[in-house]
Amino acid sequence: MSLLRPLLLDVVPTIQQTAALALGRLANYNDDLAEAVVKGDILPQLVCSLSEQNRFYKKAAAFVLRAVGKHSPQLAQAVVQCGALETLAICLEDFDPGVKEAAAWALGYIARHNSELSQAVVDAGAVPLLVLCIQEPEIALKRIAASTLSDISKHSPELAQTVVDAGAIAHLAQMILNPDAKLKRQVLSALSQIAKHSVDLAELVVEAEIFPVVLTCLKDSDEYVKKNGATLIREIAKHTPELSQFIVNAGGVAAVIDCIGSCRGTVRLPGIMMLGYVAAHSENLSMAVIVSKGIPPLCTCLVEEQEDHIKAAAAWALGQVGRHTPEHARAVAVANVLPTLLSMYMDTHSSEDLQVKTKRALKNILQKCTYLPALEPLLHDAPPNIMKHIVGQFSKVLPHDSKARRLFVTTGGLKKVQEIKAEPGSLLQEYINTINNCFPEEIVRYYSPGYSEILLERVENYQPVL
Amino acid sequence: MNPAPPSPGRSPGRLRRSAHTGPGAGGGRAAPQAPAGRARKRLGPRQEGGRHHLSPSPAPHRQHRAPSPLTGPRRPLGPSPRGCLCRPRSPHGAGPGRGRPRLPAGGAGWYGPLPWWRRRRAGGGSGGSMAALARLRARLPALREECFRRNRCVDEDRKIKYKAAVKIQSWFRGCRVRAYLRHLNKMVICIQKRWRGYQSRRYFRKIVKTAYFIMKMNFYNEMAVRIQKRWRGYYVRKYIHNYYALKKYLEAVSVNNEIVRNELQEYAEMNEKEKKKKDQEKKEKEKEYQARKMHYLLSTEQIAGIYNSPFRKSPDPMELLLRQSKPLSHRRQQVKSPFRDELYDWPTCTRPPTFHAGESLPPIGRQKPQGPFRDTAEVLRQRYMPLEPTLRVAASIDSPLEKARVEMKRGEWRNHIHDNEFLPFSSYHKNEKYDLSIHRSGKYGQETYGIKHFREVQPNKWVTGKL
Repeated sequence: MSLLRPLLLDVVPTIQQTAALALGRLANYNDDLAEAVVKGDILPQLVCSLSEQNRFYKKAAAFVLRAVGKHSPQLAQAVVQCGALETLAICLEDFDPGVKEAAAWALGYIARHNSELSQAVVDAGAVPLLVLCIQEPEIALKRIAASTLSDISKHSPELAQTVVDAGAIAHLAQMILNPDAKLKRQVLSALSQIAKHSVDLAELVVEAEIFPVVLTCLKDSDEYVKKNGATLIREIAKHTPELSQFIVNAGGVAAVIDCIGSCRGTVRLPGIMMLGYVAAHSENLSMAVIVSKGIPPLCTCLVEEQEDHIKAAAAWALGQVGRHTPEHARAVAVANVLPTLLSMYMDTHSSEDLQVKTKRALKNILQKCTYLPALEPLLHDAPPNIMKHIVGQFSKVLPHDSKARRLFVTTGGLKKVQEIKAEPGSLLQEYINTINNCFPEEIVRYYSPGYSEILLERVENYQPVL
Repeated sequence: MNPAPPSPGRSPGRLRRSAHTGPGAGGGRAAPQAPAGRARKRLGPRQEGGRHHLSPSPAPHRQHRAPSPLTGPRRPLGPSPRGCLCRPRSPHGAGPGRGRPRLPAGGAGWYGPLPWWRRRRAGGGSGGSMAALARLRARLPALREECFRRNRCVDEDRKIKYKAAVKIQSWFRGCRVRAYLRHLNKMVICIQKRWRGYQSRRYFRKIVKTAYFIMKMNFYNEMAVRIQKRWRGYYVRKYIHNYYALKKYLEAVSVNNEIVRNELQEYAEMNEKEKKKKDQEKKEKEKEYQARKMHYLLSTEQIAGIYNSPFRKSPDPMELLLRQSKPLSHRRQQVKSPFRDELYDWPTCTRPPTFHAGESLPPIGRQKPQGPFRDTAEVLRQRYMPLEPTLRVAASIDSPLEKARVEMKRGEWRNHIHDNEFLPFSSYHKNEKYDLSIHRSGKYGQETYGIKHFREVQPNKWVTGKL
């Protein structure tokens, strides 16, 4: 560091630029080195000379600032304190696209850490310049500018509003059609960061007519484009039922379902959550999800995925779909997903979040489920707190349906119910009594545990009449 | 001497105390004590003779007494039989030998004390008066005794009679008062009966009115409930939970989904195709380049090339390619850019950045050429001297003002972001009417997607807690 520093002040410009480049690479590698760069008081020097020098030096200096600022908020704060932001904003107005790109990249890395730094970047007047950068023809510059806007607007609604006020949404929306995959990633990420904060911002994003163009992104060959597209749709759908309705009408649900089916891993997660949000708003929307054949992909997600948080998301989404009416619960139960949920709940290896979510989903679905063949298998392994709901559902359906009663007996459900031990006076006991009252006494006695012993005892005590 | 009979004609219920004192008679009478707070019981018959007790104390002369606070105003009921004969007290005689009132000789009935001017004077004529007086004086104690005895009997009788009279009178008064109270009671009952009847009838009328009103209101409510029931059922089934509309909507959603899926499928296929095409083109370009480079592998008439083996039926495609391609000249070969593997790609920079060589270094170790040549450095400096145009050349034809104007215009055009600069950013365009976009308007007019409902906020429907 002490060797490089005087070289920065060298007469020969090439040496200056190369020294700056070297510093940048050093700082980029490791945050200790970056800290050394900061402590060596190099940054003010760089910032001062940034305004005067030619474009290669500017690029190299911006590279140093970016490399220092990317490691931690404190280092970024140090960069800001040197007054680098104004100089970088001036660089954004430069003619050379490379300089703009380097400056935008540096600003992006600084703004990424927290909202105060973002606010500082915004206060330096960078946002309108970034919006101008987006309109430039060079793809790399567009990418970096989009990524910077995304980093700025992700922290708080006010920052997002500032970005929107500079007119960014229209340009970002136009760029969704661009064939470049990395650009699309950044653009979709920027739009989703804007839309996530509030209903108004989401509506503004929707009014920029991204639907149905955004759905083509869900069919892109790049995984992260799909993921970001699904994230954008999720952020829009989660706010109000009207927005979800709009997305359903535009065919977004079908596209997301296909997207889930074609991806693997964490890429699926935003799509699953989107389905959950849409189904959570109202029963009509939930029915729309079911009608769009949304349940089978969710089940496959639940079964196939290894990560617990994806499984938890899938369980939650299924719970939201099935909790509204018996029709919905039936649709979920028919997909034979309840035993999977139960096994996940009982599994000791599942994380606590997964257990909580599966339990809640099971509870919600079971409270509305009247489809008895799906409830049958659950009788045998359920823990008491779930058993209560299952038996409750049986007690609601059996009094009115004779065929179901017959099936209940033949499949061994009655036997299982007799074996359940419940505290007298508890809700479970009431349900069991209701069920027992639906059947003739002989059959209840026949299936009660220990009946064979009683019969044998009677045989023993019987005195035959000769 | 007769005991004084009660004089008839006394007004009932009213015993009057008549205070009479005969000459010197005051001593004999003791005023009966008046019980406090009651109608005074008066002495019945007025007694002229006799005295209660032997004490010579003069009976107080009682005139018409002023109403005392105990008794209240006295009501005279009927005239007293003989009026109140008040007489001035006669001067008392000597103590025991007080003159006593004389009864008239005629004992047919004593109707009351005689007026004073009718009384016979005591004492006879003047002659035998002394002997008479002595005789009378001799008879005096016996007379006294007799008088006393008679008086005492009469007195005792009188007491009894007095008490009896008191009792009778009190009972009678009691009866009167009770009769009066009964009468009053009856009157009062009558009045109250009428009044209460009247009040209750009023109250009853009011109750009947309210009950009738309530009945009517209940009936109206019932009818209103029926109407509302029907209407609400109809409305809900038609507009809010319209089953058929929901079914149609879901069918439309599935149809739309199908369309969208098909379109997306097409789009994906198109992308695939394009990508494949691009890859293919790239490969072909590669191949062509290779063929052009290795053009020398083309087979000639005499020697068959590698790709044109005589044992093959037809020449290899590479051979054909070689035949088609033009030989590559070495002049414009693309230099592999040393900056291609940089940390960040600069697709905007097609040439690697060349740092400005201030002055090129002189050749190393060259011997100075022989001859009148100038110094190499000088020559190079002159050769690469930067252009210093004259002021006339440097300045453009346009005046600086024009140039500045053009520059300003360009700057504005370049930096122009907002059309409405002087209006506030965020809230201005919220009042704008939404222009229909081409995307959204269908073939037969505008398609509705509930755009009007966007701006409604229903926080209880939101899933997340964020606003």
